[in-house]
Amino acid sequence: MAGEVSPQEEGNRTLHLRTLRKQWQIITLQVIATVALVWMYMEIVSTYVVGSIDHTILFRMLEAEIGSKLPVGDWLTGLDQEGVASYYVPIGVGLTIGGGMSLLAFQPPKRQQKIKLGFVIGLILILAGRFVMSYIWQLWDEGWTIPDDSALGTLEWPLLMILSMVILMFYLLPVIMGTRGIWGLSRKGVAWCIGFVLLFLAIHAILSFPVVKAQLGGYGDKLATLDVLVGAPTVGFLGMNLVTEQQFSLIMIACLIMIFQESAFGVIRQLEYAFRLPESCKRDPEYVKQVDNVLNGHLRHTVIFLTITTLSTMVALGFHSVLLEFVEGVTGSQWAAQVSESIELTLTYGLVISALLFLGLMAVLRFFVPWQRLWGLIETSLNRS
Amino acid sequence: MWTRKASFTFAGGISLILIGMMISNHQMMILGLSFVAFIVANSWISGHGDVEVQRTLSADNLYKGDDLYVELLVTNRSSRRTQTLEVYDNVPHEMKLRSGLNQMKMNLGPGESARIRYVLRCPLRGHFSIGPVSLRYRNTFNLSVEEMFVDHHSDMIVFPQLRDVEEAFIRSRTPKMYTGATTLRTPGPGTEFYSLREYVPGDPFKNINWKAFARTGDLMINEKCRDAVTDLYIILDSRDIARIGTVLKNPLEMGTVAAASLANFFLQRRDSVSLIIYDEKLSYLPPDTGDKQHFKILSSLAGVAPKGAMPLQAVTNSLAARFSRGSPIFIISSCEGDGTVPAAIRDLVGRGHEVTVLSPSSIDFERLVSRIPRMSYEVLKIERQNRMTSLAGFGSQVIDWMPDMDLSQALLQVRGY
Amino acid sequence: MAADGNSKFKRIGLQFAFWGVLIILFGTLMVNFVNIGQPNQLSAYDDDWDDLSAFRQDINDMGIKTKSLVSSPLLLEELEDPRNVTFVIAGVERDTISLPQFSGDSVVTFASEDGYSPGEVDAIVEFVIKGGTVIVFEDYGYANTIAEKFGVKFKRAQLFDTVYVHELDYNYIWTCMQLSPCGMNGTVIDTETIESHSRWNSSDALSGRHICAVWADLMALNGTTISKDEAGLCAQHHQDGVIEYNASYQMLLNNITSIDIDESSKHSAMITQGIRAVSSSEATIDINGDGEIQLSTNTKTPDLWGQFNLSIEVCASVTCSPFEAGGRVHFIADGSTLINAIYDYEGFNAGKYGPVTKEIPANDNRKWALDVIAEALMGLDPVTGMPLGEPSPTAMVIFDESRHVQSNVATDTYNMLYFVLVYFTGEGLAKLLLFIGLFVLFEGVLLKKKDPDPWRHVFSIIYYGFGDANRYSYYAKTNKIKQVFLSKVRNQNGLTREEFDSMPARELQAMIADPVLVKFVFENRDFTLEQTVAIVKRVKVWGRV
Repeated sequence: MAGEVSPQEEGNRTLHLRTLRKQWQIITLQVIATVALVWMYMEIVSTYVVGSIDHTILFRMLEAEIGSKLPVGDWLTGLDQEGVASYYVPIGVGLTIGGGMSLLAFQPPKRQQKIKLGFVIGLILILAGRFVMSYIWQLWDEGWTIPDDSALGTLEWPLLMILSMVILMFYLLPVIMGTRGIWGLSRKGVAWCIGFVLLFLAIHAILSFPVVKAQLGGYGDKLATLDVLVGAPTVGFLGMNLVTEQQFSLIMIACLIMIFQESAFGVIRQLEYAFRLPESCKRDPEYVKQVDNVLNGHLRHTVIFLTITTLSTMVALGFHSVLLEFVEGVTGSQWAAQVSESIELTLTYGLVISALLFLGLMAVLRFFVPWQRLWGLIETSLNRS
Repeated sequence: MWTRKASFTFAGGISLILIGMMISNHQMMILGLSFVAFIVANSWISGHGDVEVQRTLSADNLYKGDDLYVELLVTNRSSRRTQTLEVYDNVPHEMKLRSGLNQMKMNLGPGESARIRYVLRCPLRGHFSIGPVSLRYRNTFNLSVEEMFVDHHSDMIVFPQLRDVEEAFIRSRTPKMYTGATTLRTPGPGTEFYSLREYVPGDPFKNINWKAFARTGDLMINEKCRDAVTDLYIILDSRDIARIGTVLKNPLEMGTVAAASLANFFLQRRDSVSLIIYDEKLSYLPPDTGDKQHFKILSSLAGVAPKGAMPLQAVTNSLAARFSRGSPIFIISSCEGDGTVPAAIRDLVGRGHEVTVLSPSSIDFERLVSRIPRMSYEVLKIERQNRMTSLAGFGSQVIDWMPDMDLSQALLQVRGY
Repeated sequence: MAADGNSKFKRIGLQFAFWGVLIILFGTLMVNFVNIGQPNQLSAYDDDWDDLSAFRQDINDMGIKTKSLVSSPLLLEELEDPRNVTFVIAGVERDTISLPQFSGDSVVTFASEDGYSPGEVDAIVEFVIKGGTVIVFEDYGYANTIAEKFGVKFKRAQLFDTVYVHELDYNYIWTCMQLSPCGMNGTVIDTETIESHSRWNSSDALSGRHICAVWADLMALNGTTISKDEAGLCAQHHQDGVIEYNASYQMLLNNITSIDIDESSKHSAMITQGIRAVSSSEATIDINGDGEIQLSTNTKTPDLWGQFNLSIEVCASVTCSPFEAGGRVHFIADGSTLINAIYDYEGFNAGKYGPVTKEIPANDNRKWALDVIAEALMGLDPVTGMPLGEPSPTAMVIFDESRHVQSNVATDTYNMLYFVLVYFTGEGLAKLLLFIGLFVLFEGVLLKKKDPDPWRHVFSIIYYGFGDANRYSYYAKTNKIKQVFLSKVRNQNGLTREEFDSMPARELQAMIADPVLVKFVFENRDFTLEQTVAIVKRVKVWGRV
């Protein structure tokens, strides 16, 4: 149908990356991702690492081996703290390094090259500067000789410092890569972070598997292992105790991985879309509005659905008690009693079956409850008011 | 439909649960359960594509090379949010996006609407249709995706371009016998006054001469002189061979431009123009004047496609009886691959028609897409010149139209060889 | 619109039919595997007269955790501390589900034998080797797959004995946990014939003396007295502030069979410790189950007469002592040894488990069962290794409910789900299959699951070239050039074809007026490429003024 068609308009706001990066939804999503990353890291550290394979143990072993303090301050490595607290400052360092890398990624290529060059030269100077100077001094004094102990001794400090930093960086790799991914808009960074965490969990799971653990002997004993049998639930909501402390911690790790992943990738996806729009569309208020809508939706869903995911996982894990009560009421006590006391339940087979049953029920609910319509009605009424 | 991500998440979740059980690892089981819970929770809200779509075009008919402004209004009339909805307006691939984008990612609330505006350039003539509108809705985390389309089409015709040929005709050596309408002193429909006559029931009121009525008291009617026009016949060769060259530069494309421009020129002069297109069959548009005829001719030319191999003599033989005597005939053909052309032209000239052959040089069009050996090209060219010479020898005006030559420039080159 | 409606109906119909057929098929499958029956019996979680709730209650009262096992004994492999676990099998009422698995020599087999699959039996054997205690109460059920691995075999036919409870009927048989049978004095057990448990009464702790006796000795040595509450696992022997261990057990059994020693399939780690109880020497076994005793060899299946074993103990250590590493298995030829009616005869006689028609006489079944538990689960001092009287902190009794018939489809289906899950995550072959399945699943997702491509408008005009390249060589041939040239000559001179053809050669030569071209036209010979090019050039300019 032919009619009056006006050309694309130009609004005050545009979808240029420079503008979009400062938009509150993007920053909120990035902050959520960062908080999730740090929280997830802390949960993993407190569940698996602290007191078992944490960096302070390694640093203390190193110090014991070399017989002196490491050149990096204890306040920086967290050696002056105990438990999870020993990770507070290193995490801050990780965030700063990740942030710095992101900042670097947005610099023009030439400046990036200069900064990288400066960094490497700085490292070389730190490593070899004093040594070269003292060796030259020695050559000046003694003629053509091999470096003496005092000259070689100057290498000790920089090497130990670099070693300490490498160890610290290795422990902080997920935080550094994650921060680089979130703020530097790097899919690779996010993927590396998640991959590293999953790899760690997988390796830990394999190493703590009784058969493998037995092979490790004394080393295996140091590994923090999760309880095989599930104890009595103590954590829950609305007055219901659904999961144990340890289960809750594990749920948090799982859900925080997802929150981190979805918010970080969400930001990158939306910015990528905006970046690929032609110039005229970037200025078109219609596109701006819809990008706002999509971002708002993403933000809402990140909060709502990942909270639902966390809660439903908790309920799913505690669902066996509900199920057993129900079955007890329907079929009499014998089966319910034997199942509620079954070894399968404590070995999680039962938990998983009932949890999957609960999730199945949840999935089927979509055919009975018009969630989309319900949410739409709430939204409409909110808009009207 | 689950996306790859959802499938992987679900399969990964189940695998983690089972492997976790195998090695008695709670973390794996709980990670797996969380993955499955994530899929399940998100399955509640998958979005929808129940939207109303309305497309507005700046024009239904336009000329080749013109810009077309399109506006697509997408409205969510339902009481649910669409979630991430991608709207894509299917534009024919022959059209080029000049500005804007024919798609948008949106998230429409109940009652909300969004406008997609874009500009298309149409470099090819033809009958085109924009649509349907494809919709793809996903949930926020890209776990489910559904595709559908709204069967909403907007049709349009892209006419061949019109070239100004007036100056060429004034300056050319083409005989000026068809120079527009002439007034004959016979009554009939026309513009000039012929005489007064008495009113006969059925005469239109607008023709009543009210002054005469006031003067005489009888109803008198103004009679007009019939505008006699010259009938001009344009014969366009649309055989398969006319496609030689590129899609934008070939004898047929140039032929359609020439036919449209000539028809426009003569119709503006209030001549009566007829269009004959021959390919695998013959299509004949009888001579007529006016805008309507102009539109018909342009529409026919827009839809022309190369096909078939009908000889020209078959055309002239079947239509000879319909040609007004002595009327000028324009034959637009490369004259390639048709041995009957000389005979057909000889016949037409013999019947007293003023025949002009506008012949796009097919060998030069072929050269645009094919590496013709120099010697073969020269021989082919000589052969073509021979053909043109022989046509001119039968008394027609022959124009050898080179690919890089403008129509008006070509018309100026008319020669009798 | 009509087409739309039809397709909608077709779609709904197809879905309906699909689910219908699927449910029917699934139902058929379930009917084959789900085994529902009445009445429920021998369950530790039911409190009928023929269940084991009193025994479980006693264990709980002693501060020991009780657990049920509803899927498969494969799970025993996952227990961290088998030494402090006792696994109770009371009546194997159903066969295992036949699923493929690796046998001991890594050959794929289908478990078609009685009761338990090879993987399950291996798990039980491993459990015993690691120090676990197993009690198998069985009569006519499917426990032989386990029994054979421990070098014994249930006869699965009813045993009749003269030593039975006359107030009740011949199905209630007395036996004593001792090497020689106890006899009757009239209608009651002759107390003169009652002796002691052949292992538990030994003098040395390391040669199998009962742990309560060892503990009692320790306390006697220290002169310690304790209350009944403090007696812990040995409370059944508490008397006047001390533990007075008594190793004689007058057991009441009901509907029993006998146990043979058959070491042909015995696991190498197992040592048959000995027969713990026997029938009288006048017992008979109704082998053919016809209700009559026919001992004649003339009959097809002659019944048996003589003395038969009613309890055998097999251990994974030489002495079977709780202070050694290996565990032990107690086989009792009666599935109902610990049913509430016999175990808690006082409660039963008081009507706790329903109306009483005949009273059950006093027996030592409870004492024996609790002594087995005490021996298996008593905590040892980590420093001295001496018994503490209390159960170990990780002590646990697991009742095998996986081979008990359930009363409804839902519960049995649930148990079967457990079984399938445990099978796929516990059995070697199934794990392998599962891994392959998961691998295939991921491969499938990777290969088959494609996301829709992003939309993009592609402006594409097909720049087709149209021409006839084959003719190019033809137009380079001398004859064609000649023909084209002659046409040019003819056209230039305004001649018709006929006129031109009839023209004399000399006239034509004059008309051409170019010796090179004349030669070209009139000489039939081959020209080089250079010559042809030169000729074409001449032809091109020929005729121009």
